[in-house]
Amino acid sequence: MVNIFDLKPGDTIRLKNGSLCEVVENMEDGMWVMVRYVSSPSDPSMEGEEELCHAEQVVETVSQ
Amino acid sequence: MSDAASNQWVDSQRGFISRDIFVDPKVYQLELEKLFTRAWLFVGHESQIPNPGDFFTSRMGEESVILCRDKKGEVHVFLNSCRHRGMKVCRYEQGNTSLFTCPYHSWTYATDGKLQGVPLYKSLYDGVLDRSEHSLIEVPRLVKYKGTVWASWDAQAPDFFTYLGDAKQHIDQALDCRDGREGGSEVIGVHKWIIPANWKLAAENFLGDTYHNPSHRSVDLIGIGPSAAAGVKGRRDDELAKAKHIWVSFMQGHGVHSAIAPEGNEYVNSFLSDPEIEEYFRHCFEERKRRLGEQARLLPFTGTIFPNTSYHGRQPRGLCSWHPHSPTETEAWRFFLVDADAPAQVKEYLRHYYMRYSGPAGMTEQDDMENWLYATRASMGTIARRYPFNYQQSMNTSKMNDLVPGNVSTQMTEEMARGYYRAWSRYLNDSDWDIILGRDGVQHAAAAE
Repeated sequence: MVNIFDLKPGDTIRLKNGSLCEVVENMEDGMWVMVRYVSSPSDPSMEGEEELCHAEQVVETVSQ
Repeated sequence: MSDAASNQWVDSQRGFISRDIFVDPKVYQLELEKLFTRAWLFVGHESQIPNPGDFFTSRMGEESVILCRDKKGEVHVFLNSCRHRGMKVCRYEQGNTSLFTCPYHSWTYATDGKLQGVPLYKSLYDGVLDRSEHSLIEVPRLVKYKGTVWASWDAQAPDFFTYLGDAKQHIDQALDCRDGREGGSEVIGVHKWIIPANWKLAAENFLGDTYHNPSHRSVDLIGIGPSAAAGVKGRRDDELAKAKHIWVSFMQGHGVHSAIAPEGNEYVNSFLSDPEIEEYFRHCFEERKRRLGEQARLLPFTGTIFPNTSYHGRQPRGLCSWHPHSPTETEAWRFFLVDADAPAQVKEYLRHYYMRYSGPAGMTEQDDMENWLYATRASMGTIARRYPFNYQQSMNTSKMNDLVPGNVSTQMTEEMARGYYRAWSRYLNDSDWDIILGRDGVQHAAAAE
């Protein structure tokens, strides 16, 4: 389980739906990070979009 | 006089008020529904939220609200309750944030109140939940005035200055710089504490109940004022000693005790313990006189802006909120004010004086609290409730627009309290705003009784 308090802008994370996202801002409430979609196999239209991402959706951090 | 200004509890013509309004849960519930949902209420001060993302959790009636400055610098007041299951979205007294996240299911709101994030939105809510319809609930009416922030839940409420009426020139002097510049105050601290007393006893005390002075006699004998270390007795320095005291009642329910300095308006030493502080305030006094001319002769003392915001205009300078918890419990807040650009030494000097005087450990405040809590407690009994409180002091001695606008007395009076409860009755009687503000063509002041 990822403690999202540890995420920093620039980190890459994988979500439950398989999307890869770059952390843009950690909202520092332990629940939400703002991310930019790098890839999104289930919904390619999300690539490049920014969105709040909830901690429950984060599977792992990915080394770049 | 209009029937709206009296009811089964308030007989302001004869000067009797039922004890029920200080202890009865049914009356209290009516106050929450009919009064605190309509009146303009003081929420906080802009100096508490100077930067984008700053917030201060406040109260309106029993309800928790968030005073917040959004990313663009706009000030908002939101109900502190998630639109999903109602959990508080902010459980801190103040701070800075980008989001207000509900701890229950994590719905999260931006600082402008918009619902920004809903966990699993796409899979659970897409096409059903309209996020734009689920922002934090925001007050429909908000005004920023000389740093203070006021709000009303009533979209039909009159504008704030109509509501304030002629009490404005009195509270202005608590909010303006000591040297007469407009506004410019900042809050240097807030005391919060809970007292087992009805909220109106505190509000009423600040309307200008000078009659209760004897209850502070022990403090006066000790001497806790700004010049106490120099041996001066009293709760404050007697800077109004040569002034003519006036007690003023306003149609909207506000009441003040102010003073008019004599012609010439000379400075009265008020900070003898420290020559540098004394020099600073002497300079401010002379500057104020130069700026305001004759207007500078009007000096503030105390007042209450209906229903639950009080002020001390000079010593100790600040605003009070009397937040209702129940008929017999009140959360008292004291916001202590200084000029934002005053020297640090002056602010520190005042801070110490404020703590000696006010708040849960303040010696003057302790006297008052004792009065209010025992008055509440002793009014709860079946026998006690058969006998109303007496408000007959100085009946029919006030004159309209004598010296200053309003219903003015030059002797101690309970007219401000009678006026306050007339206004209270109009709210509880579901009066429309024309009646509450005296625009219905009926004379409401005691002079007409």
